Amino acid sequence: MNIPSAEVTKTYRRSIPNTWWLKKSSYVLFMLRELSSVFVALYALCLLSLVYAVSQGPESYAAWVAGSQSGWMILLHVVMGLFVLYHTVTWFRISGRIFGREGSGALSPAAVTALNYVIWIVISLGVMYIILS
Amino acid sequence: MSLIKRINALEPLWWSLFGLGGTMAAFLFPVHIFIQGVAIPLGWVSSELLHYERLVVFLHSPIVKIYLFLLIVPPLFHAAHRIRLTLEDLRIEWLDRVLPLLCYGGAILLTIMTLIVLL
Repeated sequence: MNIPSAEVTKTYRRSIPNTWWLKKSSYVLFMLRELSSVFVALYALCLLSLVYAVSQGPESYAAWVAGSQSGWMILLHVVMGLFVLYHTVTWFRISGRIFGREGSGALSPAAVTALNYVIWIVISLGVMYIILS
Repeated sequence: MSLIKRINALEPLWWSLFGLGGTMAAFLFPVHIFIQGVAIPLGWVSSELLHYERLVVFLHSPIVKIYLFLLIVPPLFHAAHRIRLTLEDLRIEWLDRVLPLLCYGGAILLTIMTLIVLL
């Protein structure tokens, strides 16, 4: 038997395999929610690349548009869209838990979440109107 | 104080940016991804919407610049914070020393790039 040194025994950290989140479906959903942030960052970079392409003149912008029309790029946007929607759903649910209160005169968690959805739809329609008109 | 400790001391700032970015992405990203990434490339709406001249005029407006800054930058910090916490949960020991620097440093670098492109 090997005797652990004082340094090792000072703080005991139980080793957890880094596949712990595969054990339960709720953990997997948690990881998918966390993974959505990667796609959030990816879309922010897409927006940045669009603004950059426009700033570089008509040719670079035309190349950007051609790129955005490729099948892979559209597929990437569909995948980003699905992950971002999952982010939206989980975000509104958490918002209800944070800002909602049970009892009369207060908005319940479900009501706060529902309100988020209403505001989301109004904002989305507003953005569509501004871009498409 | 080590650099990582200094970064950790700013936790309230990182958390605020995480919340702001998460809110921006939750409310605004779906509609933008749908219009810009799917509807326009597939021709569901007129491609004239993305005419170069139209976008240049659009991007000259200070309101549009502020909007795009808020649409791009806080979500980057949202992702930086979440990726950091998740990778820490995965318990990859060697990563912990550099993770805060990589995540927030990367987001700060991209913020500077966004400012340069927009201004």
